[in-house]
Amino acid sequence: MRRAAVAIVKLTSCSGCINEFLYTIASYPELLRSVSIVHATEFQDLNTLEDIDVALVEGSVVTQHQEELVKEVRSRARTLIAIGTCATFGGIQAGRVGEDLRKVILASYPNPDFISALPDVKSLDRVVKVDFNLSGCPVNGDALARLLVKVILGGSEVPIAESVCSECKRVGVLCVMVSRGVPCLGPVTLGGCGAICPRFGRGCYGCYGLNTTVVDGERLARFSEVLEKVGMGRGDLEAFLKYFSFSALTKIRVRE
Amino acid sequence: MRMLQGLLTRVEGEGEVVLRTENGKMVGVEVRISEAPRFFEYIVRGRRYVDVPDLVSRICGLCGVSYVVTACRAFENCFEIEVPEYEEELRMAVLGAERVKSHVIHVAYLNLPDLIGLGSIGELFESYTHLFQSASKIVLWARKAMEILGGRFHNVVNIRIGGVYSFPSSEKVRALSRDLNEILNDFEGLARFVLGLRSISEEVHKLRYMATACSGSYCWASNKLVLDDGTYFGVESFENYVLTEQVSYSNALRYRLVTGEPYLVGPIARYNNYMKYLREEVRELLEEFGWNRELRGVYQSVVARIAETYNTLLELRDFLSSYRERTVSSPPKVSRVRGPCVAVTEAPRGILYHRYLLDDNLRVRSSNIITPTAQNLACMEYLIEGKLYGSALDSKAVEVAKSLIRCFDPCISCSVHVSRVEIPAGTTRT
Repeated sequence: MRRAAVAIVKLTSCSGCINEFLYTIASYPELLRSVSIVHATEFQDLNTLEDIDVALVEGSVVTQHQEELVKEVRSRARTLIAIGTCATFGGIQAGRVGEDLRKVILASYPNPDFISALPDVKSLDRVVKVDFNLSGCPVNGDALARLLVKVILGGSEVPIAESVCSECKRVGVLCVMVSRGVPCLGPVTLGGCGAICPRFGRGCYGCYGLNTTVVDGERLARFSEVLEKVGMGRGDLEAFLKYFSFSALTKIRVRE
Repeated sequence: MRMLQGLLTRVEGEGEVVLRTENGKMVGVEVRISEAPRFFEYIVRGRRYVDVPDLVSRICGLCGVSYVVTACRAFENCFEIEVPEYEEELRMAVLGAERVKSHVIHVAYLNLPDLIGLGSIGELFESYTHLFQSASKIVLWARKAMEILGGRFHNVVNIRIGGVYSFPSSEKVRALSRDLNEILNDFEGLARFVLGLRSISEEVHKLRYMATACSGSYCWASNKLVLDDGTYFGVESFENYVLTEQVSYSNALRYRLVTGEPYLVGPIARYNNYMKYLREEVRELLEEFGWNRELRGVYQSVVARIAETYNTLLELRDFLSSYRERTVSSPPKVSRVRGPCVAVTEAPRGILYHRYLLDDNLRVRSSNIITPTAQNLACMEYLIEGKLYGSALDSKAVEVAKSLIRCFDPCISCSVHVSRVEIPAGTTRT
């Protein structure tokens, strides 16, 4: 069988999801026999973006150059998978969107003229067509391995979008919000993490992004009232949503 | 004037090395950090101090625990919070597991190809399958350890200001402890292979260096720092000992000692300070290969990484084998903060410095985070210039520069995290 050409592309991010891919190939080394990594600057010297079967893209688009790069990758890739919360929702760097860009840069760098950045932070689907969105901060490496194998073998999409609550129920974790009054974003957040925060006795802070298949503006507004009663103010909720669900917020707004 | 450029590969993040030439001779170097800035300073501004550790964890996908621990320690310092002993031990174990992961990824997957003449992790898998598998097993064990003790591989969730959220079950920890014996065998195989390599260069690099300061132990976290000349100072005066500079070609700020000299942080700085405090088994292994001596240059940092990994694995063995599940302490109650919240921790790549100022509502007013890679950037250029200045350049020279940079294990995403700096006039170079 011809090896599938896989390209790993990094935009604005921390490389955490790419390292999950590294974990993926460390735990499933046989994958290296069915894929050929044609582009991954973190692991190899020779890199090309010629003819790609599967492009895994980490990070969000914040510069003109990245916008062009991701369009080029799209035009050469049969399948494009956005990996991680930055690629699927914009990521934590979206926290500065809406602020005066020059002020942001000036507060950070002594000489702002050396720094170029766009005012917006874009998830991939705002720039190109994305075949699969696999969110998570970081993305779950096991899920990535399974999706990769499925895509290589030509499997079809199974549209499941659960919230973290489902995972708590499955592993038998007592609801931290109901039983102990700990603020938890689990009800509105995409699952896939295995409910790790509630399992460690703390509330979810939403790092897999808003589950927009079940949450709309109305429900989010009502949920924010519940959170307020257990001690998480509206401003703090909005900050977390901006960090981990930014691109979803253009569709869903917390009702004023 | 001509330029020879090379994209940095087998490093984390996006960077480039540029060699400037005149009449075919090398006259200068730029290590360009082209990774786009993420403006973390803006992101944490206005946030509750309790939320900061989980946010700054996102600066780095390789050493997020170091960020979480440093942020927690900064707030514990300014609120005068005592962390219960067993919770501190658990946090240090998570930090240790991260170190093992980070060092082994660098040694085996990124650095080793240079030492045995390969260009990628795929080639390593083909030609040295056994070695690749040993390294993978160690990384996977470290992952398991981070999952059990910290919740996950990156952006761990179990560390909070004042301690931890919960103690993992003894049963899970016992399984981890059992597996570690086999992992130690795998590690020894990898260590012996690397330490025995004749290709580790003896090139001498005369550099200033800085590390955290502890007495009587290999130092990973402390409120004191030490320079190579023995100068000690408290973490609260760290910013008085370094100059900040910004250059036009890089998105990362850079640091020098106040004398203008570049300085090195990381494995070599730690090793040369604390090698005598490595465990006996580690020192014996080093001695067997003739490495029980001061390391002379950054090419030898691979030796320090091996030594530190081995030492950390042995410490983890002790921690895991004597582990007992306990009840966690209640989260600390704080009301007033005294002065800035400052701390420094040894991340795998060197000292990581955090400073936060809080407002009356205990929300972040401003912050400054100085990463190891940003501190090492001036050293990288200094060494490349020293090695190549005046020599004729070809594409081989670019490879030489790239492999030198790789020895620092640069973490480029971290280095552009960026924070507000109060920079004295006249130090900005263009």
